[in-house]
Amino acid sequence: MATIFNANDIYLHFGGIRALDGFSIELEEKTITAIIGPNGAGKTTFFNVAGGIYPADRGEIYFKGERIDGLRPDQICLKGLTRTFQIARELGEMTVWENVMLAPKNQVGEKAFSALLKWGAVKRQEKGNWQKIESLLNDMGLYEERNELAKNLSAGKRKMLEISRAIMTEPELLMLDEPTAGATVDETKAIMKAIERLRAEKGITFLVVEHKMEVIMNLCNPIYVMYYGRNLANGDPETIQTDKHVLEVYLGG
Amino acid sequence: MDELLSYGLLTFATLALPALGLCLAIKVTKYFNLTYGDIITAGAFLTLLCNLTFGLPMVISLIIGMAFTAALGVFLHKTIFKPLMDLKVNPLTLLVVSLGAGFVVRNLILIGWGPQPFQFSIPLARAKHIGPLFLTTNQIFIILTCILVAVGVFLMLRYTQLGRLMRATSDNPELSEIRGISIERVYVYTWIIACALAALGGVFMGVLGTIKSGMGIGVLVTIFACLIVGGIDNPYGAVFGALIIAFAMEATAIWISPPYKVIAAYLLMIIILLVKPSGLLGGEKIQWKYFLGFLRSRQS
Amino acid sequence: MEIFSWILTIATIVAIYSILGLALNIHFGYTNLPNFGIAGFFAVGAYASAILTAPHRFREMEIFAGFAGGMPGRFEYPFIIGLIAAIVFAAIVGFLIGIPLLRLREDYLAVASIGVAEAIHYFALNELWLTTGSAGIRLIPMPTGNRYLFFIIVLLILAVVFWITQRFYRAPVGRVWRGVREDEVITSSLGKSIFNARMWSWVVGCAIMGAAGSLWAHYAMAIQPGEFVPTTTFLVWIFVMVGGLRNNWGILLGAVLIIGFFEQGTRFLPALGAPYIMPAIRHIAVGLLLILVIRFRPQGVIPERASRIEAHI
Repeated sequence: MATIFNANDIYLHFGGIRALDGFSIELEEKTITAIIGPNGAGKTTFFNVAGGIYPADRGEIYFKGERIDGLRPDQICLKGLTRTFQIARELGEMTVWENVMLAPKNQVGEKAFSALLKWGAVKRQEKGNWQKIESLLNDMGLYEERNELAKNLSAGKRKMLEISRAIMTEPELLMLDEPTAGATVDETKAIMKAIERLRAEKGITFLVVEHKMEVIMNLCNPIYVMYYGRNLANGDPETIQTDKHVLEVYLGG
Repeated sequence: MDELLSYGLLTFATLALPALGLCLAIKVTKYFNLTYGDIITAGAFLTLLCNLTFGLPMVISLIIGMAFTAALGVFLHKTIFKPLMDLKVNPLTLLVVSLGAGFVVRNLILIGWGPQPFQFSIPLARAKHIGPLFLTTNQIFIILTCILVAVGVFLMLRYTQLGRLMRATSDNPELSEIRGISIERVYVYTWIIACALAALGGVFMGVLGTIKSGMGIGVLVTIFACLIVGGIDNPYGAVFGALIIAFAMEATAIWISPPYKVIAAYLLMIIILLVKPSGLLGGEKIQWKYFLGFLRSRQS
Repeated sequence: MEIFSWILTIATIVAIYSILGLALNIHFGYTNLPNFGIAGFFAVGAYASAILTAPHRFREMEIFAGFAGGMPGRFEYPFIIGLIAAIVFAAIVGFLIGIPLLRLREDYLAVASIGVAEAIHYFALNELWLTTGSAGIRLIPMPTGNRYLFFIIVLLILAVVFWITQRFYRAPVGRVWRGVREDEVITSSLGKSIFNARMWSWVVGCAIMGAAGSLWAHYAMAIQPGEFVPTTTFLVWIFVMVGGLRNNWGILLGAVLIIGFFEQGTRFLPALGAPYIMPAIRHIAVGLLLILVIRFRPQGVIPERASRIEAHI
């Protein structure tokens, strides 16, 4: 299968810390890859670099054959790579439905003049987007709260909102940063099901940062282990589970 | 050329101390407090009160004026800004309120003294030659005081406990809080120093020019330009910025046209914002919320 | 009859300020761009409209400005040209200013925008060839010559601006703006260009402020640089924050309350001493009101309301 994403030798340091120290990763289409590692290993930092929040000091990142390092987050998203955030950042003063309706790309109504003069087209597109979102919210268990302000949601639901929003950008590669953090057992199951379904039905590739073993072992293959900004090991779940470096690092993980 | 030197130094002397004060206030409290302009005005007027109304000699009036101004600043902090800071409002809200408070102060001064310009009652000074400069004794006094006070503040920041506390609070407020430092106390002391510096600036402006109710707010943006050009997170930058802005303004006055002095300051500010937003002596990129937010978040 | 005239005056002023308030809402309420240079864009619109519509001889002003000459050529175009010019020029100035300014974090933008208004004020005061400086431009024609009819025109424009701001709120563009306000990182990561969003919000708002400026010039029939001062900007901020930031009805209410009071409310009280005292007291009253409102009811009198998807679709 083709490689959809790869990062080569990413270095980043700030404040005297080597946050990323030669990390590399390669993702194949339609797989669910995990990155695991102790806190501070650099996982979220890598997501930030891949997502364009800040540039790496050295190294290249390719997505679908194009170089994307150095691009802005909005440019990267438009190319088909969407990432979520570790601490669910909801747009608090906006409702759940507004949060998710923000996500779809190419909305006619996002141009100021079109909003004024092409209202018919805008409304049609809004209706169409909403139909897709309705069913998504149902699957994610957020339909009841659709008119709630996002800041009033529980932590778990905010995570679901975060993921729903990311899904609505209709990405080809979706990078999820701890998607089940703070989620209940049921919510975790729902998220796992959603990820698997999206991979099967829409062919979305996933890169997931996770701590929960059942999620990692049952859902993800391959697994990359990150340690102090570097690659420690990578391979399928059985290999990782028995790798002695990993076991050392993960004391009881 | 000599004109440029004299005028440049004088303008620098009026801008440097308020710039330094505002820099400290912003650095330590992390809120932009825009009442500062009107505190400068208040400093000038309170000193005027002692000098003109009570007939006290200038230096004493200045000291009392600084004290009163500091008291005013602390009053405003305690009644208006602290409650809002405790509510953890959006920094912009505090900015708007601070403009509102300044508005009130400015108009109170207007009611108290009226719209006409005032002058301090100081003996007429004679001009002397000092090297290439041709200055009056008042002007020399102002320049020297400015330099001395600035140096004093820098020494205080580096070597006294208060200075250390201020630096610790500005670098890492949460950590300081945990270590038992009363943040509120540090804020109050910082604000006292900042207001005293503002008063000095206001008095200098008053001596070199006139005293009017709009004088502070008129100079606020120029002071801000000094901070931006020098580097807003750096007190040395504030003074350095004041030097650059002062000379740029006076050069514009001499070679282009006097009314455009202030435009020169703004233009410099905009250019620096475009080219090196953290200022000439500044550190991290702090103007770009984007980056700052993420640099502060946990690494994982 | 005099009372009607008085009410008309207040109503016209309130309406024009309301337009400024709605524009500020687009900047700050929707997109979190604190524009403290409102007076500047207001001035650009007023002057553009005045220069193009006022009779030529009053822009020469040899006696008053102490110099001969003025802009060459006769303009004296009708009001509608003035209005369009005001909008266009304010938009252009807004765009040019926006390029450096909109990259800044909000607090820096706030202070920089104060500088912008002052620079524009300076320009108006000193570029005598264009604006006749402190003498101002006089005898700007009021369209239709009838104050009642002009008020209707102002109301119509206010209605259009209100419709525009409401429409923006409901539209995807308004969502993007509010996303920029809430969290730029997320909004950017969802594929929206932050700079574009800010720039559009900024230019549209400035254009609307220019339109208000044009209306002001034709209502007052004479303008001078001294009218476009930070106090003007500040009054708009006060009534927008008191009335209810983001909620357009709240902004209208705020305009009526604050501007109505400010302009004429104390008219019937005896003047306490010199002529500058009463205005200063009014200023203090509104300044204190702002502080109290933010302290105790920061969402304003009529707060923003969450909208339901069923109402939207």
